[in-house]
Amino acid sequence: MGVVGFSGQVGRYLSGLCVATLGLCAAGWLALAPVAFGYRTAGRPETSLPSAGLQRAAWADWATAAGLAVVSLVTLACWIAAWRRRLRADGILLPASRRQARRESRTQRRRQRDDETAVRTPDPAQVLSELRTLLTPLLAEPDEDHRLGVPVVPHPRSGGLAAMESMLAGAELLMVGCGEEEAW
Amino acid sequence: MVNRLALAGIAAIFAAGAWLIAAPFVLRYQPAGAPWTAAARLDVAVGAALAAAGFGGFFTALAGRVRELYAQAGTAQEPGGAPE
Repeated sequence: MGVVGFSGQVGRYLSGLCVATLGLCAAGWLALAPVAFGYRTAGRPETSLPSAGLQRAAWADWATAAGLAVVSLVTLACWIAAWRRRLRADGILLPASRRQARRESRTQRRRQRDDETAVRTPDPAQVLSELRTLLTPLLAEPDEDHRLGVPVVPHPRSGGLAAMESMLAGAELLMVGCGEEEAW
Repeated sequence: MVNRLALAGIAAIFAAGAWLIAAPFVLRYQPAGAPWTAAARLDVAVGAALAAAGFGGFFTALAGRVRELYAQAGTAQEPGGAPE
């Protein structure tokens, strides 16, 4: 980001903050003015208002001041939040509040846990295909296997039952292998 | 969302200024043909200041936002390059 871009952004946020602050000051002034001035021009009775008009003016000013104060405060808060967010996105401002840092670390931990769970849970289709890949070389030499007394692993058939049979046969093969090792 | 709310707030401040300019005539506490009262003068002056500030502030903020969008679009088109 260049100097021009940075100053443009700062000008944007500063103008928003200035307008909101001016609105807040104007609200304060409007709230005080009916009390402070009484809306009567000293020494010129022809310009003084009748009491009903005075009341209307005072109420209008107070109502406008109240609304303006609320709007200005909300606007000020919004501009501060927007500027802080921008500074944080640019890496100028660090995540300040401890609560936010804690929330971010909790989110990161949860994401890591989810990733680990996803890694730990194997995909059954993938397991079956790996099992078949492992068992295929054993099936390639059936004569030698028969001679050694190793049970034959049937070819996987289509359907879930066939896959289960194939898996069971593989498990049986492994058990026989372990028994032979123990016998040795 | 926050940016839009902030812009809307500035527009509301401009509207409050316009209301303050119109209020003496709408609520009739400025008699027609009579010299201006202190209340009307004060309201119109404060309203004019607010309206001017709101007008300028709104377009400055909007221009900044548009510039930011252009910079973002430039960055998206040139992944390796800086926007300016």
